[in-house]
Formats: sequence, C-alpha cells, structure tokens
Amino acid sequence: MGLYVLKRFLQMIPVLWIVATVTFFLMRLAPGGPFDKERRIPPEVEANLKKKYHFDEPILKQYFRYMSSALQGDLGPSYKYAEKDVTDFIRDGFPISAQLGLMALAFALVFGILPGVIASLRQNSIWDYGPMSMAMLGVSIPNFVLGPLLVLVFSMTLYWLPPARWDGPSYWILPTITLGSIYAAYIARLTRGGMLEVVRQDYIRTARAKGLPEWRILIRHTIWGGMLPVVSFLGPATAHILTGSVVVEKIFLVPGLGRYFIDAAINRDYTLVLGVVLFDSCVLILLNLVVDVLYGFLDPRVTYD
Amino acid sequence: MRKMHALCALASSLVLGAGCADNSEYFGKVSPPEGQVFRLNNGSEPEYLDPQKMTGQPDGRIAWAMFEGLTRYDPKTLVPMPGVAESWDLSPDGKVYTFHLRKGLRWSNGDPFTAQDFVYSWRRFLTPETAAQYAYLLFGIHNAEVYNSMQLLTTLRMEGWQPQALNLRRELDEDENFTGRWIASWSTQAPGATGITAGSLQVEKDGQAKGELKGWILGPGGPVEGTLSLEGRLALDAEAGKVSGELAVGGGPQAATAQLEGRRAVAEDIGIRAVDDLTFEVSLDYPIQYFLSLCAFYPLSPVPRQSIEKNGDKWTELENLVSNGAFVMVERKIQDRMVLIRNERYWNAKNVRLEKVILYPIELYTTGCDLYKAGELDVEPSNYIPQEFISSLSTKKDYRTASQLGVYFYRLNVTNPVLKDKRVRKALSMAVDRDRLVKFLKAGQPAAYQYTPPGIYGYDAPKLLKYDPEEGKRLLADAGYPEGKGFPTLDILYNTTEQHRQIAEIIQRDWKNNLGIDVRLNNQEWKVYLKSQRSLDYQVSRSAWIADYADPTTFLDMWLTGGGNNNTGWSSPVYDRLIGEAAREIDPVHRMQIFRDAETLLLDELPIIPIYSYTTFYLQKPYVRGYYPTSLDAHPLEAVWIDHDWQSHPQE
Repeated sequence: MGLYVLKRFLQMIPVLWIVATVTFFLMRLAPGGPFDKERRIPPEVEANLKKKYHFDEPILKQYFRYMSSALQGDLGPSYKYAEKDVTDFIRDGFPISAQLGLMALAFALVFGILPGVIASLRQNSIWDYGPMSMAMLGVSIPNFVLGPLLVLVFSMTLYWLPPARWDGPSYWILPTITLGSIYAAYIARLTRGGMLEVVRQDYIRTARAKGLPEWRILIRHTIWGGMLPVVSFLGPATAHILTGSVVVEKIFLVPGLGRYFIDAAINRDYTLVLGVVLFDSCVLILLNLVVDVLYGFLDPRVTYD
Repeated sequence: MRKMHALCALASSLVLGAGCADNSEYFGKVSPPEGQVFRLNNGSEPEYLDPQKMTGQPDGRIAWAMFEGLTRYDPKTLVPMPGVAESWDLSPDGKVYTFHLRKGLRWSNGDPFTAQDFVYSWRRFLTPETAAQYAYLLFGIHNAEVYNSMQLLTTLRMEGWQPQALNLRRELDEDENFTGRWIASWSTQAPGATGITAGSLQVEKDGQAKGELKGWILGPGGPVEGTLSLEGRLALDAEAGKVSGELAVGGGPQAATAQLEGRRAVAEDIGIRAVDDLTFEVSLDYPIQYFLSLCAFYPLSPVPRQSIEKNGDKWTELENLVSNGAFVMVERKIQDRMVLIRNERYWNAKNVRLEKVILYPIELYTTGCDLYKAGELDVEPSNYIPQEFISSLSTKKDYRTASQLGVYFYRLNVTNPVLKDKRVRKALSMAVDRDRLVKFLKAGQPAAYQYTPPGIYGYDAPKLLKYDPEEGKRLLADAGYPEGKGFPTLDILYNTTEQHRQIAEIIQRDWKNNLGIDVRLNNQEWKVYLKSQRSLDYQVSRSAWIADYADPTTFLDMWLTGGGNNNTGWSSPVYDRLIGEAAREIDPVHRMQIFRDAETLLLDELPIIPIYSYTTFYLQKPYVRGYYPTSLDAHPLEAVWIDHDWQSHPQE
C-alpha cells in the first residue's frame, strides 16, 4: 500500500502543473487587468507599473518566471493588495476555513450518521420518515436561505447569537450549522441506504446465525459496511467544505479562504487566484487520497495494485 | 456566482426586511460599548495602508485616522483648519505658500517631525515608481507633472536669442501606446518682447529631430513675425534620460545653429523646499483656490522616511508602521478587523476622546445592518445600506442623511454617428423624467438639472436642464428622426449592480415613451466595463463621479480635451480655454463666474446626461457624538466620542 500512496503522490505533480498552467493562461483571457482603475494615471507611470510587475514581458516569459518562483514557494504579491503576499492570505485564511470546515464536517457526521442509522434500523416507521423528511428539507434549502433565516431568528429577534464575524465560540454556531446541514442531510440518506444494503448481506445473516447480539453485529460489521457510500461521498465533500463555502463565509463574514475564489477573479488579481487555486487543488487531491486509503481499511474486499 | 451573491443578498434582505418592521425609535440595540470605543463598518478590506498609493474610501478613512497633513478638516464644515501646520502665508500673486509647522511634533515612534518630512513625502508621492493615482492633485506645483510623467527638461540655446525651456515627453497614439517619438510644444509669455513666442519639436526614435519656432525675427526692415525651422539629429538616451545635440535653424536672416541639452526631471526640480525644520514652502505655477483644502486630503499625508527606507514596501506591516495622526494601528487581521488606539504622541492627543477605534471590513450591506442592529457596530456609514431598507429605516431616529458632492450621469459617446448630433443628445436629456426617477430611489437624492452638484461654497451651477418631452421630440425630428423612426437601437452600458439596472430600465422606458426609440440594456462586470468605457466601446454608459475636494474643478476638469477621465470623445477648445482661464484667475468671484460659463457650455453640448446628485445616508447610534454629515463624507475620528449619558439629552 505504501507503493500505492507513493504513486498517488507522484501523480499529483503533473496534475498540479496542468492546473497552474491552465489557470495562468485562462485568467489572462478575461478582458481587463489588475491595473484598470477608475482614475487614469499618466501613461508613463502606468508603463512603469507594468514593468515592475513584468507585464511588459512576453507572456511565456512571465509564465516561466511565475512557475519558477512558485516552485520555490514564492507565490508572489497580491496585485490588488500590493502590500501583502499571497502566502499571507493563505496562511491567515486557511486555518479559519479549516476550522469552520471541520466543525461543519463534525456536525454533518453526527447529525447525519445517527439519524441515518436509526432510520435504517427502524425502517418505515416514524423514526425513518421523520429524519428522512428533515433530510429532504436540508437538501432542498440552499445555504444562502438557511443562513439568513437562522440569523433572523437567533440574532435579530432573540438576540441569542451574533449575526456575523468570527470572534469566539458563540460566533461559530450559526455558520457551522448553515454549512453543515446540507452535508448532514446527504450523509443521513447515504447512511440509511448503505446500512439497508449491508443488513441484507449474507455475512450479516451468518453473524446472526452464529448467535451474536444485535448491537455487536451492528457495531462490528454493519456500520462499517454502511459507511462505504458515506466515505466516498466525504472525499470531495470535505475538500469543498474545507476550502470554504464562499457563500457561508460571505454571509457570516468569516475571514477564511473561500471568498478569494470569486473576489480575486473579479479583481483580476492573477497571483491570488493562482495561489488559492493551487492550494485548493493540493488539498482536494490529498483528501481524495486519504479517502481512497480509508476505503481500503473499511472494506476488506478492496486491494491496491 | 455573482447571481449567487445577488440571490444571497436578496434572501437575507427580505428576511431582514421582515425583521425591520418593529416600531422602536431606533434601529436595534442602543447600549453603548464600555469606555470610549468606536466600532465602524469600513466597507472593504483596504488595498493599501500607504496613504500615497490608495484611492478607495475605506483606505482613506484609515489614512485620515492615522496620518495628518498640513491642514485638517473641521468636523462639521470641512473648512481647512491648521493641522501639522499651525499657520501659513500666501504670496500676493497666490503662487507661493509658506507653512509654519508646530513646534515639538513627533512621529508615533518618537522620531522628530520636521519640514523635511514633507519634502520627502511629496517627492515620493510624485515619484513615478510610486504610481500614486492621485498624483495629479499636485500637478499645480512647479515641475510636479514634468517629474511624475518622466519628461525631459531641456534647454535650447541660440546666439542672440533667449534660451528656450521645453519639456520633451513621449508621444502616445490613439490606443495610448508609445510611438517612440518624443514631442514638445511650448510658449513663452513675453507679450510685446522681440524673440520667440512659441515652438514645437518632434524627435524620432533614431534621433532625427524637426521643429519650428514662431516669433519675432529681426529682418532687414526690423522685427517681423515669422517662423523658423529646426532640423538636425540628437542623441537621445531614453533609459538614462538624457538628450543633447545641435539643430540647424532655418528661415532667418542668416544660417544659425541651436544647441539642445536636456535631462530627465528629478525630484529636486519640484517646487517644494524646507526653508528650515519648521518652515515648508510650496511654489505653484498658478494660484489654486482650494489648495488649503487639498492639503487636508489624505494622499498628501506625510509618510515616515525612516521606516520606508528601512523596510521598503513592507513599511505598512504592523511592526513597521509609523504615523503622525490621532491614532495608531495596533492590530490587523485581514478581512476581519483593524484596531486603532489613540496616539499619545499626537500634538492634539488631549482633545481626542476616543481610546480605541475598531474598523471592520464588511462587504455585504445587509450583514452590516444586521451587526448594527445587534449592537456590534456604532455607525453604519454612507451608502452601505441596501436600497430596499431605506423607506423603513428613514423613519428611525438614528437614520441621518445629507447631500454629498457626487453626481450620477450617463456618458454619451460623441464619436458615435447618431450621438454626434447635439440635437439628439439634448433630446435624450430632455426626455428623462428625473423627478420621478429620484422618487423611485427614495433616498432623497435631488434630481440633477445641472452637472456640478450643489454644496460647493461660492459656486452656483447653472440649472439649464429640464424635462420637456415635446421639445425633445421636436429636436429629434429636426435631427432627422421624426417619432424616432430610423433611429438605431441604443445600448446602455452599466456595471452589474441591481440599482444601475433599475435606473437604466426607467430611462429605457422614458426614451421609448417620449421619443419612440428602442434601447437595449447591456451590463458588464466592473473591469470589463471600465475597459469598454475607456476604449469608447459603448454608446451610452452609466457613470458617476465623487468630488476629491470641494471645488468645481474636480468635476469640470474631467471634460478637457484628452482628459484621462473624459472617455466620451468630446472636445471643445472653447471649454479648454475657459478652464485654463479659471485656473489662472485670482479673484475668486470672477473665477466662479468663468466656471459657470464653462458649465453652461457643457450643458449645451451635453456629452453627458446628469441624472441625480448624491446624498449620503447612514445609521448612527444615538450615543455617538461628533460624527456629522458632510458633503465629502469625511468624518474626522478625532472629533468623535461616546456619550454614555446620551439618554438625558437625546437631541444632538
């Protein structure tokens, strides 16, 4: 398996290279550049500015210049926030996005797996229909509706929780719920489905025939099999949660990384876009790798070659 | 994704709007924070903390809090008051200012503050490498523009004539690319004297030079008006900024040669100097009536030389940041907050009541209002309030409004074959029902029947526009489009914002109903829109302009031929001449009259259609004092304080 992991790591390199290259050139196709502002500066000064950022060089030269400094870990200064480097934004934003993401993930797992398991065990009862209808609601209500709704009730009417920002535990609650509920809903349905499938399997029947207590079967066999669809869903889902739901971060003013995907593109902040995209790709690939490995642990039928 | 944001904003605004329908006097909680702490929504994360590089209002607020210039604004009237300079003298011709600095001034780190700091700062401001977008504000200072646009200061010497001073600058083609040629044109103001009165010169890439001199030439029968030609080859080194050579002078009584020599302007050429540690002198090329007001504007703030020389671009990092104003920054988390505390080394620190100021960069207007309502913000500043809330918020006691020096207008591309005709432009303007439009906007904006918004002291803009659809129809018919027949579909370009679309739709309907013409709406994303406007790739384009300082020039200068912010293709030598005259006029009353004449011409030619003047509207908690509505939307924080006893005297 070690070889498998190594192979995947090596595969990461060409993928990242392609992502970087495509993004680099695609960004420049959009009309307008980082230095188009409302007020004009004298053309001589503008030419000077372009020279400072190497915009006067042929595009291929700029590309190689960027790639070589990126390989050394220097992602350049942001074009819009010229006093700050791209790595500053990633360093400041990622831990916060990660924290929000992990909390949302924990919320999704707890409020997804539990109802899912219960629903599968008490199929076609109120314990099934109840949670599953909630899940249907969770899937259909988009986060940009859920968020403000929660804010209206808990912040603006009851004044229990703050409406935005990220200053302490009371600030964490609403964004976590908003971000996590959709995934909770999906996980609930997937868990229920996976569990139902496993419960019908031969090896479960064997365990029962052997006289094992139901709860023991549940914990040692059923659940792990039932988790399989959840785990494969989790890979990409985790990455998306982690790199920040743009909307949740925007609504609740969470100073994370997600906002830059849109804002930087709109500002034609080429270096920030590239930095954030590269970072996101790394995280996504690594998480997918973790998921694939985890899959192998959960399902003994899976082998690596 | 933009749609996502719009939906997001819409959803939250609907939801908040519902929550707005309570009947209390004030919007939300009214308990002040502990101590003298002021929390403000600062809009977006600042692009720069360097006052010389910034242009946005969020950045400006921070600069105004941290730095102080020669003068500062009175919090209520914005009249320039002594800042770093405690007094000043002006020469009789209005061109030389001598500022006397206060004694004992210090930077926030204890370093002494002297007049040399201003010399350094303004030189850095005008240095091309700094790329300061507001550098043009100081172009009235001798050699400031020459230095900033990297021109070559050159002298032409001929035997028997007075030496000619000329500035060579790079030539631009229509697409604003450098052609490789250097050009100069000049005139010497010596009425009645014999000699050269004007000249021009072109130098090609290879050094081949050609030009001419106009003036009085000594002929056999005495001086006679004529033209001399110049021709030759020069050695021009653009990189090093040097030019020299010899030119043959032809057309005169006998053959002559002229020596030409020049170098790039350097910072020392700018007309500013420190007479001594406490005296700072500025030499202008022409009197500027609003110069003192300009000195309070944040890009002209002094910057700390020691920190910049040591740390370069990183001087704005928290550990390197040194300032001279009422507050210093002690904390900065990107996209989260900035915390400022009172600068005890500020000369007026004993009159600054606030101990702490917290600025939050909140981009979504609805979230800002939420936080204000929940009591986490003390002021929700101008224009950060969604349109939909205004009618319910305007009944609350904490809603304030004032007129603002800004104008919303439509640019017309006068190079377009249909819009070339003045009658068409006038018809379009007369067919817009401005009164009804501002009623729709609900924020009390006055309709604009003039271009320059009201509120500039001493200037009363001529109100020449009117709503007259019949006259408009007639003009359109005169222009060859009776009932709008044969008139092509017009495109209105606007940057993607809900309100701009709504306004465009109203105007679309007005033009259809009143003139019978069809209009298509075209929205573009901000940067694309800027580019389209700049390259004249539009027909009608939504625009706006907010004053940099309280003087008509900030609005009227835009329409000069080839002005960087013109973007309409309109050009009028008469207008240019009037503006030039006003610039040199010393008598303030006469100066304003010249501006009225210029604006009268502008409103007759109508390269733009003014629509409404701006108002500021904002929310202010009742316990916040010292924060006043002003036309430039500037609120000096050193005057603000928290009144814990506000309930005993709620009126302010």
